[in-house]
Amino acid sequence: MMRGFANNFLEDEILGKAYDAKLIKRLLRYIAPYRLEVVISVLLLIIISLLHLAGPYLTKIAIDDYISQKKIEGLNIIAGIYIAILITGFVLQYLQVYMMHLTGQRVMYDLRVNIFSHLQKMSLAFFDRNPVGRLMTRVVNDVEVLNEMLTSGLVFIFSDIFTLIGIACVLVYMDWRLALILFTIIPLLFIIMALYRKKARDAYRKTRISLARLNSYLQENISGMSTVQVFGRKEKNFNRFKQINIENRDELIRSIIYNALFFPTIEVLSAMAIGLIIWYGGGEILEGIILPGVLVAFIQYVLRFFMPLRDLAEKFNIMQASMASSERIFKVIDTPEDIPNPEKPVKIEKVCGEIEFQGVWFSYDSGDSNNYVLQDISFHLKPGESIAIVGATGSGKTSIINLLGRFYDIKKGRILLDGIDIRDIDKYQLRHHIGVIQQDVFLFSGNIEENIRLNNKDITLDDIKKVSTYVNAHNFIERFRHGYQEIVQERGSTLSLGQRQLLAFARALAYNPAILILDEATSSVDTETEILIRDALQKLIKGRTSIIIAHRLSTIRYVDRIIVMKDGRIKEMGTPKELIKRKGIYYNLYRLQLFP
Amino acid sequence: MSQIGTLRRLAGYTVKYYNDLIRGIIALLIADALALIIPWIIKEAIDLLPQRPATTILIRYSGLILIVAIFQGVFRFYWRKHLFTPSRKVECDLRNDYFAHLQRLSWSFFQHTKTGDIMSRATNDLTAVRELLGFGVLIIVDTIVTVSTCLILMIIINVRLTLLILLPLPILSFIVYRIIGGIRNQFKDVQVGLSNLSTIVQESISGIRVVQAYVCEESTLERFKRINQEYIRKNLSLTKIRTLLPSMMIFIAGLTAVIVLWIGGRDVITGRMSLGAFVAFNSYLAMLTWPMMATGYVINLIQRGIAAMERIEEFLDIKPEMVDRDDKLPITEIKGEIEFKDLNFSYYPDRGDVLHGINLKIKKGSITALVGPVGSGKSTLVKLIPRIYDIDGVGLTVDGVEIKRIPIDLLRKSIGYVEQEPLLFSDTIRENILFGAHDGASDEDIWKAASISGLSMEIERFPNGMDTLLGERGVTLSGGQRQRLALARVILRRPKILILDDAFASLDAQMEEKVLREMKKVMKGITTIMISHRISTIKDADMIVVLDQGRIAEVGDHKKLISIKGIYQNIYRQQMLGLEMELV
Ligand SMILES: Nc1ncnc2c1ncn2[C@@H]1O[C@H](COP(=O)(O)OP(=O)(O)OP(=O)(O)O)[C@@H](O)[C@H]1O
Ligand SMILES: Nc1ncnc2c1ncn2[C@@H]1O[C@H](COP(=O)(O)OP(=O)(O)OP(=O)(O)O)[C@@H](O)[C@H]1O
Ligand SMILES: [Mg+2]
Ligand SMILES: [Mg+2]
Repeated sequence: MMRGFANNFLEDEILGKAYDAKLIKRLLRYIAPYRLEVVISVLLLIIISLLHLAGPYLTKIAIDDYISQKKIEGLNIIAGIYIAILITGFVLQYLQVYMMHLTGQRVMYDLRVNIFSHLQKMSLAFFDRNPVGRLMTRVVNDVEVLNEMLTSGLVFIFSDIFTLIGIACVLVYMDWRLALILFTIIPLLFIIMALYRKKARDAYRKTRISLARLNSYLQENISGMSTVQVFGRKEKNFNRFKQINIENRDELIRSIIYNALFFPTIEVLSAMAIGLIIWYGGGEILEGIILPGVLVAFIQYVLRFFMPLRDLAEKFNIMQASMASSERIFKVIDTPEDIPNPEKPVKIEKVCGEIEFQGVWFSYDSGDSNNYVLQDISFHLKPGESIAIVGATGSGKTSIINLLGRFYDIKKGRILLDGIDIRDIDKYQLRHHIGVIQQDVFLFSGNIEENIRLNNKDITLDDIKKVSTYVNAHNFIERFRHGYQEIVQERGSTLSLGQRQLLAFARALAYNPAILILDEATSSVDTETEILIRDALQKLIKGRTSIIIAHRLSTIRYVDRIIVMKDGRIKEMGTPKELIKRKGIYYNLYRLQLFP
Repeated sequence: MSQIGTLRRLAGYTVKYYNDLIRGIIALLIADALALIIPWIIKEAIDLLPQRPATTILIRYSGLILIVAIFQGVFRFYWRKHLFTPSRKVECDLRNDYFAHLQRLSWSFFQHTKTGDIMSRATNDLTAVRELLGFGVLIIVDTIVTVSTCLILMIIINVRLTLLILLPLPILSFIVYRIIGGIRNQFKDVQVGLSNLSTIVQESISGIRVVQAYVCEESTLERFKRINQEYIRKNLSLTKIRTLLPSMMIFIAGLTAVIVLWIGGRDVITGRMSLGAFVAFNSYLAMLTWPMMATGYVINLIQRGIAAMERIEEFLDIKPEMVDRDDKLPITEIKGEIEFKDLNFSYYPDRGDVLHGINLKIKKGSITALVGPVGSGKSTLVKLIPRIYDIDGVGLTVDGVEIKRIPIDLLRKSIGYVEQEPLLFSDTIRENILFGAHDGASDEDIWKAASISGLSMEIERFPNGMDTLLGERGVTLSGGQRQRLALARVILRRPKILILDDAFASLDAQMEEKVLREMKKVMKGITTIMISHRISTIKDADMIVVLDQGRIAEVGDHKKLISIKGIYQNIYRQQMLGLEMELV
């Protein structure tokens, strides 16, 4: 199972460089609103680095000016200054970290809201392609990675670079000859870093892919655990999981080795530097060019010089990960709204409910494939008319109604609402006028009342009770211990399917739309309830345009007209009586349900 | 103090890799010992300087430092490799165990726990645990080794000075002790916040079809913002105390440096200590700075790791219900006779029964149909057979054996169950049909199953045929196609007991008739239970059972039931007569 997954992971393969100017620039735009905090934070960092650098220098002064000269009072003063510096450093450090975290959190918040609201605008075609797990990773984990970069990567790289430059300056100032000798090590450093970078990138890509695969597999197994268990796939799936897991582990262990190599190499370089100091600096002392204190300070500075380099690998990885994450995030944000809202939408105040399809062609594939699911669909609905769509499964009934709400856009033809092309209407307003009961019922976790109301504050509890009575749901809801406040689990999994369908029905009625669409809305409902609903509906759909899809013909007895679909085309259309007289597809379906 | 238990459990996972650990620790010890030599060499070199040594001697010292450093590098490589590897292995083991454990948990667990939450624990929390094991163990060992050896050497150089720099320690430990519990709790809060965030995203995206159709984008965004804000608030309040530790450590490290400079400086002036010793002492102190800073970091790491592990344990400690009992019977085959005897069932112990006093005997190879109103308990009744839910008593037997004494794997292997809302996976159509098949199903078998369920024509029409990739949960198929795919999936399974829970609800009459006809051929000899609301589907069944509010209201075959005044007759009338009248 899940072999087909491989090509789903291309996106997770995106591999940022450790530094990508374009991405950084875009990220900076998110940081811009908090630039004051960032500037202060960087300033603080500079001060803190300076304060840290003061330590060895104070030691040098103490040794050369006081200890060697045997001046105790001077030593006291130095100690006092040192303590003052430490306290200041402590306070500033705390402030700086807090400030940076504050900024990081705010940027994360903005970014998350940005991605999330963008996702909400995407069309269903986008969600057909992108599994939930992946999108969740974008909003939650990728942003988290960026936060890490912001709070412990970027700023520290700043401060590290600053420290390095600062130390270099001090060294040059103290003894430029010795400093120059030391700097001969720097090219070596660069070579090592370049080598490491290349290896780390490869390793990162591989671990990234295997992790994505692992998590998707996990996610799908969790949401489908019931099926996995009943089909006795426990062992098979566990073995598959284990295999992916171990692949991931081995990939990670391999990347440990690169890190393990990098870190000691840097340390050897640091020892080399100290060796140079003793050899050359020692010589200089002998020649009387420098004092011993300078040598000691040099050694201390060199140790500090290499300190930030020690965890350079760590920081490099953070940067690498965050560039990749931001690239993935921006890719989502940059995906254009494939069903854009018209720039100057036609205002519609009240909808009469006249619907017209004119030669509509439609395919789920993007691009120009000829894989048409709907071909040349034309029909006209007068305001208040009710129409039923029947036909074989997979013949395109659901697709037709998906088009009406502009969840997908058509390839050819026009769809008109009250004579206006729906592409010229604000899509949110359009959807406001259409109440649809989808074939797949979806309930949110929360309670029953919330699921019917769906955050629409205009709907009162009385309204909810009324519509629940219409669809015969009131009875069973009242039987629950908490009535309308009864808890609903994710996807409504503790309700029977029929109950879920009734709630979805109630939801659509509470919405009170001008156009009502029922897609197999009572397929899992028993006949008695169905008839109750049908009778209630007869009153409700009066004055509303309604489209009803149903396989059970008893459901659609009272509609004005019927459309019969086959293989994406309209085959028959007319009043029920006409169609029976015609003795075509509908007539056969009819007979089949009567005398199978 | 479950904290100890948590740590013990983690230790259990880690100890398995003692081989790596021991090697790593030995390498670490050697590397650290070598590291201590370098300041010593520096000390010697500096002390030598006033005696005006020849340059060659200085070169010798430099060379010595380099050689020691190279050896040290080799061992460092080793300890990094061997100390980090176990953390990855433990992560992998823990994840395997988590997965395997989830597999044994019952449906009610998954119904009452959000997918986002389960995922979050397997990803975000597991990462925190791994970091505890990797960096945590490493830094702890490193710190202990470095600190103790440095201290010893410092004591050798100057006892008094060493004791003096230890002065801040008790204060430090006191402060750490005071804030540590708070840190752990706040970490937990943050992880919970992260879970909530994952959950809302997961649910809003899964339900995007409803969100968009009902134009709820704005209110969903508001909810998202609220949870997002909550998460940030928790994060910041954690930051407030968590930042304290590293800053404080740096401060303390600085403080010791001052003490050394001040007191040690005096000692040099008064001649109690040589300048070389003073410099060496300072170098050792510098070596301590890093472990000290790391300690602050590692305390945070440990607290977070424990908090995360506790969250993972919450799930690991749930007792799996669906396991074989000790008194299971060595049954190797199931024939397919099912009997319910005075069976009552409720989903929650403290609530009323969903099924009352069910008495039903289903003969091997027979076809039984269940009808009844919405929520009458039809699905519940059939879910008891594959033990999706367990009954309390002994009211259910298969082949005369109490169901809980049959090996559960065998039981489930013998059952083909089409759920009322079947779940497909985002894989190819072929793999989906193969999902429940026993080994050795050929391509021909797959096509045959597809053709029985009336899918083969449509599959042929798809550009990629059998290799068409489905969207998540099969969203890129029509409702009826999904249902037929689920049918094909059980047909290929060749079960002894077949359960069809409203498995034709999304099919048109023509397709239903065709599929049913084809299926009847393969259903011969298979005990079949089918639920349906349509008379046309069930009227040929050997036995029709009418459920009403969890009780059996009527039993009999079609002929018998339409002749007695009752629920079934009523349904029949409503479905048929109305239509007939129109036809006339
Ligand atoms: N999101 C999608 N992406 C790609 N193809 C799709 C998608 N949804 C449906 N299809 C395909 O379009 C065709 C028509 O599907 P549609 O859902 O409109 O059928 P339907 O008439 O509603 O069938 P049913 O009665 O089974 O619900 C089917 O072949 C189906 O596989
Ligand atoms: N997992 C569950 N936890 C708690 N209660 C449940 C659970 N599943 C079902 N119920 C409740 O048990 C009752 C019977 O549900 P069941 O799914 O068996 O009905 P059904 O006869 O299959 O209905 P339908 O025709 O709608 O499928 C309902 O009131 C339902 O709310
Ligand atoms: Mg459909
Ligand atoms: Mg059911």
